[in-house]
Amino acid sequence: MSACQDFSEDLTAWVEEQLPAQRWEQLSEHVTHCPRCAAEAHSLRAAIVWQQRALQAVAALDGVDPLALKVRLRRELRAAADDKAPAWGLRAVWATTFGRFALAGAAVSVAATVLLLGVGPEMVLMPLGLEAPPPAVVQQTDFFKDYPLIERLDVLEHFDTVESVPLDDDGSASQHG
Amino acid sequence: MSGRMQGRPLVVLVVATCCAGPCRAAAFPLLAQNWRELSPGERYETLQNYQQHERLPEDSRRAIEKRYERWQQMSPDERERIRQNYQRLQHLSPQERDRIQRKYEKWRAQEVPSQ
Repeated sequence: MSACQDFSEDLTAWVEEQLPAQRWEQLSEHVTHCPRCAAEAHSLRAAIVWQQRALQAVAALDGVDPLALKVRLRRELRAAADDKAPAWGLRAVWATTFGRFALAGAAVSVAATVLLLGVGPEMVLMPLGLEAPPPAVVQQTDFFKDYPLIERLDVLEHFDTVESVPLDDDGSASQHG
Repeated sequence: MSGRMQGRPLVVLVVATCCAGPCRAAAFPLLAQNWRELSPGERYETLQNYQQHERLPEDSRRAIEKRYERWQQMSPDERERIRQNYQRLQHLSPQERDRIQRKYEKWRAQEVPSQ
């Protein structure tokens, strides 16, 4: 278990063949004999392929800089990992395996949403936290979140009274009937 | 606006929240809500509301901002009552909502004849 924890930190780098030769061989040896790490490595490879396809899809969109998007996604995921992962050894696992899937998922969501809805990229990047929203939204989040309610505040304040108000067309059937 | 609130955000909620869910901060019903605490779907709707507000003429914007000031001064109980009324309104059909609006205008004309 402790060996898996030790190796898991470098598993992503191992899959991407970005480790020094000696460390890469150590991990190769471990993955050969550890079904759990082998399965995780397999998932990582699949996630990387998915991520690359997603980023290619995003790159095909107008107005999206794929490189900047990739950098932002990585930064967000790193921040999310720091915020949410437990403080002990699994942090690295979370930040690599889970992070890979989340990265690919976020990229796919950007591409899919922009394609499906025909909205500007900022309307996808901002909700995903990859681009800063307008300052007014940050300063008055409550206001804009409850906006539909605020818009109808006058009606809602007197809803019960208003409900009982008869309209001219309410009694038309009985008058004519 | 009700139609707008039903179609697109639903897709965004499904796509963005499911795929990017791991990235988002947990959303809690806080009194003063922070942008970072909203889910991607809520952020999308919040941005749409912002854009809608920006498109309004100045006097309409001011009127809504005054309502917001009134909303901020309300007690938690009063706000809760209004939120419940909002939920009731949301469950009505567009025709029924239109009737409520007409009823409100009629009631207001009786209450405040000068306007």
